[in-house]
Amino acid sequence: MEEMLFKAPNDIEELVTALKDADANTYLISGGTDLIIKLRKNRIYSGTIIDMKGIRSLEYIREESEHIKLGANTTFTQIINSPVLQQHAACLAQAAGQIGSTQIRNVATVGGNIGNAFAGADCIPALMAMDAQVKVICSKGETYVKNVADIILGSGKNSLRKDEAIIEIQFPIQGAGGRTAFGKIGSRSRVTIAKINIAAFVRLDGSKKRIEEARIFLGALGPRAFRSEIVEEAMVGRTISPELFNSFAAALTAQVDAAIAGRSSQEYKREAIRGLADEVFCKLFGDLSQEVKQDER
Amino acid sequence: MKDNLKYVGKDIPMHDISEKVAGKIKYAGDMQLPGMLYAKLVLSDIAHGRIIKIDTSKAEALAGVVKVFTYKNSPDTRYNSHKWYVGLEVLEDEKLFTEHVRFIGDRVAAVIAKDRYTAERAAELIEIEYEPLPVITNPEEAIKDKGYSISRKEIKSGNPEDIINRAALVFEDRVETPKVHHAAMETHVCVAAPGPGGEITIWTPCQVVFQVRLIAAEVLSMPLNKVRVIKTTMGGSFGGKGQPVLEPVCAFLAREVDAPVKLQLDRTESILATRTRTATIGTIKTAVDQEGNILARDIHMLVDTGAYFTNGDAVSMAMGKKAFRLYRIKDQKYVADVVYTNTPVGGACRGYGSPQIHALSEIHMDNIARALKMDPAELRLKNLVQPYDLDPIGGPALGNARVIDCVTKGMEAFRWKERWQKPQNPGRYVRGVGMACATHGNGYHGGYQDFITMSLRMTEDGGAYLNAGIHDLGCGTVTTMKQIVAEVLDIDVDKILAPEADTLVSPFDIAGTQASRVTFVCGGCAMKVSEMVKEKFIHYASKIWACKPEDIKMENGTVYKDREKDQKLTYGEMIILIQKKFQDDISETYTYTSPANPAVYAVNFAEVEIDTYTGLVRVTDVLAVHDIGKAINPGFVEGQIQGAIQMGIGLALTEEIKADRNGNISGDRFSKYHVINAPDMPDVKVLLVEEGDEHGPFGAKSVGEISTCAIAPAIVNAINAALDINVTSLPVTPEKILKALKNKRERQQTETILV
Amino acid sequence: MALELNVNGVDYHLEVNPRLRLLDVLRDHLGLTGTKEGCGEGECGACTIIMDGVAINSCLLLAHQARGKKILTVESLAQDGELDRLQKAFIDNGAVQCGYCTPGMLMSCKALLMRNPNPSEEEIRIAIEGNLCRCTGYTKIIRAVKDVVKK
Repeated sequence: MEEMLFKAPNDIEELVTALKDADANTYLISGGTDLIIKLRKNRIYSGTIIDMKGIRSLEYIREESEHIKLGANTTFTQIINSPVLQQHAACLAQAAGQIGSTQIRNVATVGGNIGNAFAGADCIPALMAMDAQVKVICSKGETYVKNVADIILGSGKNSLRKDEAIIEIQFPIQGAGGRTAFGKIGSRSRVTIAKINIAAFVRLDGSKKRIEEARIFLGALGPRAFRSEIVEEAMVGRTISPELFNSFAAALTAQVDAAIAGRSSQEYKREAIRGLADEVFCKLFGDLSQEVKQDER
Repeated sequence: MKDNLKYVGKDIPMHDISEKVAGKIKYAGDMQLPGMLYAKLVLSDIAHGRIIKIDTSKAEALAGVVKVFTYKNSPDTRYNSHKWYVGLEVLEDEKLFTEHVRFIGDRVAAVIAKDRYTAERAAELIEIEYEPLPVITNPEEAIKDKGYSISRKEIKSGNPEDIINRAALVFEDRVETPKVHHAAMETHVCVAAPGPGGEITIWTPCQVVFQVRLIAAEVLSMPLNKVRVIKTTMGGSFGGKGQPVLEPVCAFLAREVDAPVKLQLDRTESILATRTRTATIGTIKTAVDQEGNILARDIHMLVDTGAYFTNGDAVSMAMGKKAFRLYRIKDQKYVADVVYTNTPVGGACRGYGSPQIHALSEIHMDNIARALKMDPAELRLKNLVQPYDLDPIGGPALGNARVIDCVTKGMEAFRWKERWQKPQNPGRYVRGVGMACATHGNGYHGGYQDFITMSLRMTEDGGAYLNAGIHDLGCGTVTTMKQIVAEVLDIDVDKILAPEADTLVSPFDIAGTQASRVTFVCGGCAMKVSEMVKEKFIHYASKIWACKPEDIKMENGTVYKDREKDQKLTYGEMIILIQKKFQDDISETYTYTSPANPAVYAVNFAEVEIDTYTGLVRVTDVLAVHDIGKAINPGFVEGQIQGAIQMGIGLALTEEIKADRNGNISGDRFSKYHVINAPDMPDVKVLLVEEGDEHGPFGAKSVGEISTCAIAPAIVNAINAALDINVTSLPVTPEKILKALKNKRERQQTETILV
Repeated sequence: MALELNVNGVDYHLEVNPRLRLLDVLRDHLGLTGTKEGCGEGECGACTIIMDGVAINSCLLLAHQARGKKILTVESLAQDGELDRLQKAFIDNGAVQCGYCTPGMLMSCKALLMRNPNPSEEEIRIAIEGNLCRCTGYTKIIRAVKDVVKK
């Protein structure tokens, strides 16, 4: 009789032990919201499921030595409700708020979202924009740290070996002048898969007028979220103004054209991304709108 | 119309609501029978082809599998699940399992196993090799192909061609409506069990038990009396569970393995392999004078019935007839061409063609108004039908048709003039308003047979038992019937028992819950049979008390002789007396034939907010005005309308079962088929025009279907007006809106250059 | 594989194939058929239950993932034969038609009220954003929740 094996480690030690037998038919889950659909779609009837969610020590959001650290089992609901993240990683909290439905956000976790590596995942560009890294543990109990951007290889593909598990996500607290925002377009306002999503980090100079640094990531435009140099170039060194918005929007359109040239969705996405440009620009610089408007005059 | 109503017109809770909120009510999917087996269908994954080889051996070898059925070991009988009564002539083209698959989702095989996991696993092990055949999914290609173009229907009054040819002002539009999934939350499900005498019992959430019995008996070559159909609690239908899809299959499987069988579809199977709203491509041409009076109209509908014919003709005729009952148009022609395509099968869907024909006519009306620079509401007021108008093609009279009242009252309540004339904000988010009208019917009178038999008996404890083949689809039919009986007999609704349809015990009903006939026709029967019972009761009471029948008063479960109120008896006490004295039962059985088929009307006003950057639309306000006759239960009416608006917003904006050239379907699951959820749903305001209809019980007319017929065009009109574009292909997706805006910008630029 | 499950305050010792979903175990093993399946992919919310105080889709959770958790289904809402005030509000407001989405709706709304006894209309809409209803247009459901809040 075909049967799945189910392992439920309660701490890191047990996780490491469980990982020792991991093979191509091992499925590591945290919230597991994507697994059941995958089991059915791929007609999987045997193998081993390792459920990490029982490791309570991996459910945390904390500030530590100028970093924010999230346990891999942190749910999106916990992310949304975290004052620390709202303050230091608005784009992540905003992205988490737009994932699936209430029920899904209550279960799905940040670690799982990265491991699943879905091309339209909302959290991934946000984490990338935060320069996030993941801490991975292997079956020998050793850990290493790797950039989220390097973990995600493609749609549904990550760089982890079968005996490795994501246990923590961390990113530096961005100092003065750092601002972030996330935006998404789906086919309805909520509970929708992104047609495009975008996460932005910018650092303003002391006068809050000039952009010194930018990291812009776009998702759902290819097998994985990617950083857009085109858009960043249009922003870095520029002063916040209506002209900047126009260049930002134009650069986003140019980026869409470059990313999905010739695809049937290009016609829509290259136009619609203006909506994201507007949303993200407002979220980033809305409090400076007085100055923006002054410039407009 | 009767005044001082005590039960009718009141918000009485649905009969089974307590069990529903407790999670205790049993749907067919919750049923367990001893020794029950589970079936899983195998559906075609190509859109057109012939099976060359089908290998079921691996599935059969799996432990727990009882049997596998394919075309090789099942009846070859062709049937049409649309046939709802014995005498109906229909094109029969469907089989239980086919060797010639015609769409992705066609039934190829079924596996029966001891549990559903084994059945699912086994279904995956069936290997099928197909010889592919050419695929046609586009109805405009299908109409050119002899094998796909099946039927043409025409309705005509006067001489529209001549008038249109001579007219100075002729407008033309083309409107497409998509295939839509009913999206009842309960997926299709059926349980069937064989009995010791060779009979089969079928439990199913259906709309017409006698139709299920007929189709199952036909396919299994069994006498009607050997098939018993019991309607289970309905987890939503909207027409989707109207035609028996699973029932003949499940009954066959149960008979063959001689055990109870449950067959429940998952969501994707329900979308692909049951029924859909019939897709249409309509073209419409209207001649008007300078003032906006319609002179003549010419309509063509290309009706995509999908891979099997089912109700292709009936739905084409139904939508055509509506075109003659909304506006006063003496000279009009309607032609429908029905085509097969290699796509999911069309069937009944809330409104039965009305949402399609009204999408065409109402979007068109707004375009005429725009061309004439008229207020679209005013344009309609000039042309709408009036109370007691006749049908120009000889259909049933329109009755107390109050659509003009609906428009004028709605314009006021919605502040239409003010909102319509409001200048557009040039920013990212643009708001606009639109409106549309629609008509629908009340049963089959004038088209098909329409009668129902009911029995009503007053019980010895003062209750009443209404025995009738009714089907509550979750709309409150049972309570509605009880309210009618309660009103006539003046007894508490809770004292009335009104079980739902079971072919073994229910008196015959010709048509079930279809065609918006239940409140009007079945309710009419309930009222008539109640009056008969009341008369009988009074007759005996007057004999007992030796007085005139007029002197007997029935009030709140008690009976007394006029002016002798102190000597009253309960109904039960009186019935016991009657039994003793006359050895008679206070019961009546009556077959009620529908006397009429008046029109009902909906006028919907909608406000939308369009994100001109992304093309996303939110419906921000809806006012639904209805000529309902009389609301038996206003809360139910409101609920029907609010739900119907949700469905109509989906038709307007998001919902579509879309086939590509190869017949592959996008939108085959809820993550890819977006029905409107709570954040996107506006508060729907309801305004009822209750002028009554002489033929309906207490003046009541239908609401369930009409309520979803006007909303989609109202929304499309609001979008087009607000953005000054003309998108006429439903659903109006963000992609279509942005494309139209881009075209408009380019056009304006060209015009600027030319200037 | 052995599974200890706490559902509606009762401890169950079950033998469950790890491939099965919590939804399957609730319905098929425990006979708690109030919880429904409508889509099997977490889109419709008919299968919503409360786990450790929050609403979740029981169709997206393996039964074994629920070990050690406190599960509440619609059957737990009525206490000693008395309907919960949320259930009563659904009745009073006519927030039920076919009833198939009702258990999931109730559990989403209950989870909201457990956490936030005074939600705004927007919060109510977001709490049920993952619960589809084809009958009611949500209006009366939202009204029912507001009614509970008012009282």
